[in-house]
Amino acid sequence: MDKDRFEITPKQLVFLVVGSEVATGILSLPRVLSAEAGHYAWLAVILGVTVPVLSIYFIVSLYKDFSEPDFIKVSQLLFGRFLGFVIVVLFSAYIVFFQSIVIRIFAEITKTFLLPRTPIFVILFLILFSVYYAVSKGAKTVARLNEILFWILLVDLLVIIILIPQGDWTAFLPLNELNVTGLLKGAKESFYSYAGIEFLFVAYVMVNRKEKILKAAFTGQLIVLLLYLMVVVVSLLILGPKSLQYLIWPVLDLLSVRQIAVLERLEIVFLVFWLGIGARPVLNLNLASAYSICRLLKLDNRKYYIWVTLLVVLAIYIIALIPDNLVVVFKLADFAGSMFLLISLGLPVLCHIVKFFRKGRIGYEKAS
Amino acid sequence: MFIFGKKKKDKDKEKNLSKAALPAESAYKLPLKLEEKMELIQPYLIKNDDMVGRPFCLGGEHEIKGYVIHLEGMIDNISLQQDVLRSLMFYACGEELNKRGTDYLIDHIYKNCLNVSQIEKVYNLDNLLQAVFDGFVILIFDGISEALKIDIRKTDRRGIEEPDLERALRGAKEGFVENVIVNTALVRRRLRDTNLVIEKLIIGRRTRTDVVLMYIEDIADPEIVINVRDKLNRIDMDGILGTEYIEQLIEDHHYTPFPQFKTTERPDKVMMELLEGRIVIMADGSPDALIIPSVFNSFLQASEDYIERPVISFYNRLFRYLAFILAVSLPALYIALLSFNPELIPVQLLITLAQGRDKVPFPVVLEVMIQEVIIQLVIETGLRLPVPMGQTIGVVAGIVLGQAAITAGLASPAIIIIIAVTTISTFALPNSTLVMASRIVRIFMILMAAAFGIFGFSVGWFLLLTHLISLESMGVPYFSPYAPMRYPDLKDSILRGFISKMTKRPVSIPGQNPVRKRETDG
Repeated sequence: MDKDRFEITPKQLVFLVVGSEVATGILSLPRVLSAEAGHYAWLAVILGVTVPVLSIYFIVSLYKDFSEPDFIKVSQLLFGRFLGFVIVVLFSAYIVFFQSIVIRIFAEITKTFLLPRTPIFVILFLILFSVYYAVSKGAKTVARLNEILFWILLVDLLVIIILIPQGDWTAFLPLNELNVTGLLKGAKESFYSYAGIEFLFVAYVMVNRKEKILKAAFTGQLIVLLLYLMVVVVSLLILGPKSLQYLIWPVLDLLSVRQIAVLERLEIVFLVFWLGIGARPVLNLNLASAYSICRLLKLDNRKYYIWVTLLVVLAIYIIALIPDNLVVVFKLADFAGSMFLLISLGLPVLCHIVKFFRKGRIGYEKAS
Repeated sequence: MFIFGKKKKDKDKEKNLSKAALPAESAYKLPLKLEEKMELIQPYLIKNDDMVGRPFCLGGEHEIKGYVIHLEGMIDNISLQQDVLRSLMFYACGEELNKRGTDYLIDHIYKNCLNVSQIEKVYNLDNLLQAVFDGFVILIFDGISEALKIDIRKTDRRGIEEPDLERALRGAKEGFVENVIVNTALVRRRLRDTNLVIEKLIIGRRTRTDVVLMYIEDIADPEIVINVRDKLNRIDMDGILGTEYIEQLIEDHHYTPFPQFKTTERPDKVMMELLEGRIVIMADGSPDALIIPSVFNSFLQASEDYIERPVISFYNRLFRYLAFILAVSLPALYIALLSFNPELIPVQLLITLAQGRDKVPFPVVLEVMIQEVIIQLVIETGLRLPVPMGQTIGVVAGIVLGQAAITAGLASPAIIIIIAVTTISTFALPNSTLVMASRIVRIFMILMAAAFGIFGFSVGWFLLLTHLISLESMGVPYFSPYAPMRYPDLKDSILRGFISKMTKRPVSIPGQNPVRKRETDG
């Protein structure tokens, strides 16, 4: 069963990486970045990509030496049974917390734009029900879903390219006024938009051709970078760094800029696939945490996987309902962002250090 | 009808009973004397009036008595009289044979006397009775233990016609019939490959239906063949109706409206599927061949797609996909836009729609549901009625109901158009099960959209996609080549590439021999 439902190909990993990172964050990304970096927001996106790239490299080089590159096995080998257990639990808890925030923001946007009179708990329920349905089918289904959603959403996002001719290229000028501290702050903000790469920690073991993981993950990361760049550049072109600050989700406003014949407004195309955009990272990371918990407690995937998934989804549901308003949510999101840095960079580096010092004393390493 | 929902316990019981009925006889040989044999068979002759027999004697002075038993109407009477009885009564000489012993006699009759092609010896009562009920002619003789079973079965069958459900403008006009032997011959005639394997199985403890498993040995994936054969052998049921039953008994996912195996009545289609490495199951009693495995994509393809020019086929397929999308989502989209997000509709259109609706007392959902229910009833009625009456219903439903509903203020003109377009789209789908499935999914979408607007619609499609992706047909991902992406197969998805360029078999279907056509020719 493990092999059946939890095996993915490197090609699918590309889409999983994209799917884990690109979410509703992309809608507010231009505003967040240009608030700090001004018209150099596009540079901030490029600087920010260093974090996930390092993270991918560390994770892959960590697992490479293990014959069983399973997150749970490896962390228990490195840190001992108890500490390893704690780390996996913390990791899963972080995912649940992080995804609750993502889902909550997603639900808030939905409420604002689509269902102003529907209570938030109903919207959350709808989203999480869909997520549960997909995740309970296993990694294969999730991977395939990522694959097809990627193509659908690519069309969705590329729609804004048609706005480029209307843009004002002077928005990138002047070139010499580079505010270094602002840029660095912007880069820090853009780190957070790459959250989701920690999915690779768990997904590594599921990929069937391990030697291609590094390339696949980097390809996925490159696609994410290009998507972000495109969105930021077009936003700057059309709206400019100043007016971006007045829009909470500038990308959605971009869509209503241009009138299209017949459809009149582009948003409809975007909104039809709305759920796919927002729910994708939750899908992937929910899978990761449910799978980890199953492995950690040595539960039979066939029997207990769907129940563990249900529990994780319920936990996300409850935590997502706790914050009172959007301000609190954004504060929590900032906190979750720093957690992301800790998990995606700190954990692999820690693992590497421990591995370095305990070399030779760990049993299951590959004979190289 | 069979009680197919029976508990497993009952099944086992029944199995034991049927085994217990004839334990002693089946183990032993048939008795030598004709009278003793007749005694064993007599109860069945008395009970079944269509089971007939007559005594006869072999020709010559020393008469050897014999008896012939068969079912009425199942065999070719002329052949029985001329090829069997005549040769036995006139040309088989009893006296000479008597001297050489009975062992020689049965071989002599078997080899020299009967000029029918299919003949077999039967050694025990169990097989003998089964052979009679299978429709064979049975010959028993005095003084010889073995019986002979002769195949001169003849059943009335309908002629080979063009299948109603799969008409094609161009291409072959032949369709399968209910007789499996005729059907296999139709396929064999088109596919003379020595590697085409046709395995015969008997399924159904009581109906003993002939089921045929067909595949090309060096193309089809052996794993799937073994899997299918296993599943077929595991069917332990009193009776099956045909391939429709088999389909439901071997499928992996029961809780889905979507068909997991494609059926076809066209031998040319079966041939093409076999060449792509699929496995075909046919059963006596139904003209549908079951194609294993099938993917969602193939349900939206018609056989003339490969006959027409590629561009035309692409155009047609595009419309079939559009039809599926419209059939599933048009009413839902209408509800979502009109009652939740009117700002997304162009203003002019919105005004027209609103003007049409201002006399209608219902909310949009109810309006849609009323029309949907009416259409469903019309379809249900039309399906069962004979053609002349069906036309009347069509007129009444189409013109009277539609026009009257608008005049009475129960529906807006827009909704009539929406429902009409949806219904037409539904029937543009080439597969009848998919037609039914799309009707059910449509209701789900309508409810989602009615409750949560365009977001509900989005959720509905997400769930539908997830569902389709999670399905598998005999281990093959149902939604390939789209998810998982099988890039080489995309040339035969919505697109239909040039036949001269389709050099490889589809990778979605596991198989052994990928090359279909050499690059150099054509």
